[in-house]
Amino acid sequence: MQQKTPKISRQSRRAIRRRNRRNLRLALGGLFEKNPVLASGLIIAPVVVAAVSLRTATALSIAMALICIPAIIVSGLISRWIPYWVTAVTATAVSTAMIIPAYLCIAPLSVHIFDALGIYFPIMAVSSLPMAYISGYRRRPRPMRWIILQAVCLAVGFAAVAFLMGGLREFIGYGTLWGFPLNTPLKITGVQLPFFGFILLGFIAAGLQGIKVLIHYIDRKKRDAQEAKTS
Amino acid sequence: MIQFYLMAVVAFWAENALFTRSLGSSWLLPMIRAPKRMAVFGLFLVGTTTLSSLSSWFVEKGLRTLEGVNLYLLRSVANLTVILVICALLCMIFRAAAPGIFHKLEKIIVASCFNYAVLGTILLSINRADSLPAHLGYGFGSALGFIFAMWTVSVGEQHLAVSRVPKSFRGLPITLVYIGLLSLAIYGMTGHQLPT
Repeated sequence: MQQKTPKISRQSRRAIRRRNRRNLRLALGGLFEKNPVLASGLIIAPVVVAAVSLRTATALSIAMALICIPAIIVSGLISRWIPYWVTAVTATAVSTAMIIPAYLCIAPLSVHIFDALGIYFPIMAVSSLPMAYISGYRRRPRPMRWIILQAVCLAVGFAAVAFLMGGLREFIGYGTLWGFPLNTPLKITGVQLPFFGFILLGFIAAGLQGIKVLIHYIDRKKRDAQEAKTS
Repeated sequence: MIQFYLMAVVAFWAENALFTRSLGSSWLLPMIRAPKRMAVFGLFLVGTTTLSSLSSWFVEKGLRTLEGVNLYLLRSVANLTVILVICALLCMIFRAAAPGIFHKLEKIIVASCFNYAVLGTILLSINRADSLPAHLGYGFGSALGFIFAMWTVSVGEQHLAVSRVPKSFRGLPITLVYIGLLSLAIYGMTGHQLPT
């Protein structure tokens, strides 16, 4: 005799769809709305100081992906059962262990890549990014697939900012891109210094905030127009 | 003792953790919004940085006796392990000694240990300082320099909050521009010149 699968009511299906949409929105937030560098202000130091060329930006993006993604996944897995400080120590221990594979992946980029990165490669292991998400995961545990998607989106969001900063600074500062010379009339080597990194990042963050303000304004206008139609 | 004070002054001013190397910038913004939390965080940061500098001195001495190893990688992993142990010990001690206060201090202790400023200072002082007093002075001065930077940025944020800042620049963007301008000012004041 065939066993009938229990029917899910229409209301439950709607609730599940709403929950999935919310989880998807939160997970994809790392790309734009909650970009870890431009919106949340996390992991600023490597982008401001070390992202001075496309090569170093690539290295930082690989480091961020390999070091921080596992730490975020581990903190999402264990945070609901153990105290905050134990989760933080465990996540950082995982980041520390991931430094070795990250080193092996970055080394082929260039012989001098670690001279260029300096201290900004190992300090990725003590990034505030996993700590920022531990409290959220403790309050509202999420399924593993959404945590992995969120971690990947955060890494992609970071990489986008690192490439933008590195590309601009290499082009303006040295007149090259990935070491290939371009015919630029002006080279301003001062853009390699941290102060320019801060100011450029501030302007890029303002650009993102401006886009968010514009989207919010368009949404509000649409809602007002719909309310005017119905009333 | 002179080496301690000299290195402390260098780390505080000429090589300020935030303005010259952007270390600690991630925890800066959440901390400066509450003065009491900023003060407690600053105290813990001085403690963890000085303690980590002391431990890393002995770790570095041990690492230099090894031959044929990747010192860059090993140094990073070893110092990270030192910071992990210090954080775990601090949390366990406070949890046992003062469980009521530990609940409020938990996040601040974690933030003061897992911080770019702490690990960055240790790794920088290895190249800067040849003796234990200089090493400790660099760590101590770096932490004090970060507290000074936090206070400067918090004062600036208070002024910016009452200024007419465009919507796109409110919050993080204008704070980053402000830190950038302070960084340029300190770069000039310490006698550097822009590369030509």
